[in-house]
Amino acid sequence: MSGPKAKPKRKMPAQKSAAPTPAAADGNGKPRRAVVEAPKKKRNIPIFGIVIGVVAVLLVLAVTLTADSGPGSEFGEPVVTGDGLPFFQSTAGDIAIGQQAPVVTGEDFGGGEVVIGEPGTPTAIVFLAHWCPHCQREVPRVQQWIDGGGLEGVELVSVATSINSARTNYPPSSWLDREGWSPDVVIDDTDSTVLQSYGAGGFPYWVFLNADGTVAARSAGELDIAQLEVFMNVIAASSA
Amino acid sequence: MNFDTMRLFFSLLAIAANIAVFGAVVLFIAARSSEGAARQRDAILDSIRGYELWMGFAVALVATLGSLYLSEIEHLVPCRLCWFQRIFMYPLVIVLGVAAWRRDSQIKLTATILAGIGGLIAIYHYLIQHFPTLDSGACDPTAPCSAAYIWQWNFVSIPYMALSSFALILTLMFALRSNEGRMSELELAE
Repeated sequence: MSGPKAKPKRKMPAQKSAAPTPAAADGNGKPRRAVVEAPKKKRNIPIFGIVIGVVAVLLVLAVTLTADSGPGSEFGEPVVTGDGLPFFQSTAGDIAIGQQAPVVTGEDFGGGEVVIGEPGTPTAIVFLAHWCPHCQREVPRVQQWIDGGGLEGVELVSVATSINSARTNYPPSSWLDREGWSPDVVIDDTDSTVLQSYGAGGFPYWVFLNADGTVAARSAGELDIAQLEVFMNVIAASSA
Repeated sequence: MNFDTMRLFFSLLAIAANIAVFGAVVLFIAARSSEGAARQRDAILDSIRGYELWMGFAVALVATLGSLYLSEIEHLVPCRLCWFQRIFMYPLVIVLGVAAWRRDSQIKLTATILAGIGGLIAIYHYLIQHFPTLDSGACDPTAPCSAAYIWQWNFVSIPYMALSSFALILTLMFALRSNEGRMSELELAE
């Protein structure tokens, strides 16, 4: 089973003083030339056959196992009216503050109509990407806060955006369902039009609107509850 | 060949590479104390002798084509750390290809350095995917490093595949070095 070439090396210490040279030379042919010849003459593990075989088996396995998976799609067709907000850069000194936010009319996962950005109630909008680990951490935390009666005098709506069936935690409907997410959800389209019209900050992306529909603040990234409440209190005061 | 198929295929290749590397490490350690393991190790080393560089070239080529498939055909935008891993993987195709062609085993040092640095970046990237807070608190809407495009079986991601490839190349370079060492030992014995 093992190569004859293997033996001289392991036995060398023992044989060293005895008669290693003839044995090595005999069993081995000419070691120098063996660099080229050994694989052809003495190979007893068909390593290339194994490699090619394994790759072929894996390919067949991959094709077979994914044969019945069709492309999924979970997109909405939201309508955005009004001017889009400028591209988000930072919460401090945000030039969007005071601007009228665009009004979005879209649908939730059940097909019900959801409207965002209409003047009336102070509103927090959170843009969620199903594949974003920070959104995955944010959602249960916010839901817990809502369940504890956090929402007072403010509305919280969400936008499921940057949806991509090739990425993790797809589809967003199952994810939000699993988390027991109670806020309304607008499903963004393939171009993430809603996200773009609100300035496309990093996820989770928060936009806080005053009661008159103007921007109070925008923030990119996870907010803990204390930070969230600061923003919520600001917009809640706007309706008074 | 849809994305699901390729994703699974790449993941399976990564696992195969893991098994090869793991097997090599175990065999090399066992060979220190066991005669039988040493014979197995030598038999395997014999079977790849003279082809180590070609095999390394093949691994780098598959990794490179795989990453180009993901970005150019599936349009997955490479994140910042992906680019750094590409910087260390792509040259290996040329470096190992030319060296294999010219039988220049001296290249193993260059290849080891490239693959070593690339592997370290891949480890960091993989850690960030597991612990997103190591990076930052937000996901860049275009290409955040912390959000994995692929998460096969809840652990195989693209940097994991890169790490598997780098590790296999390192193992092959180590095998090349071992084979050279064995050759010179045989020469001494002669």
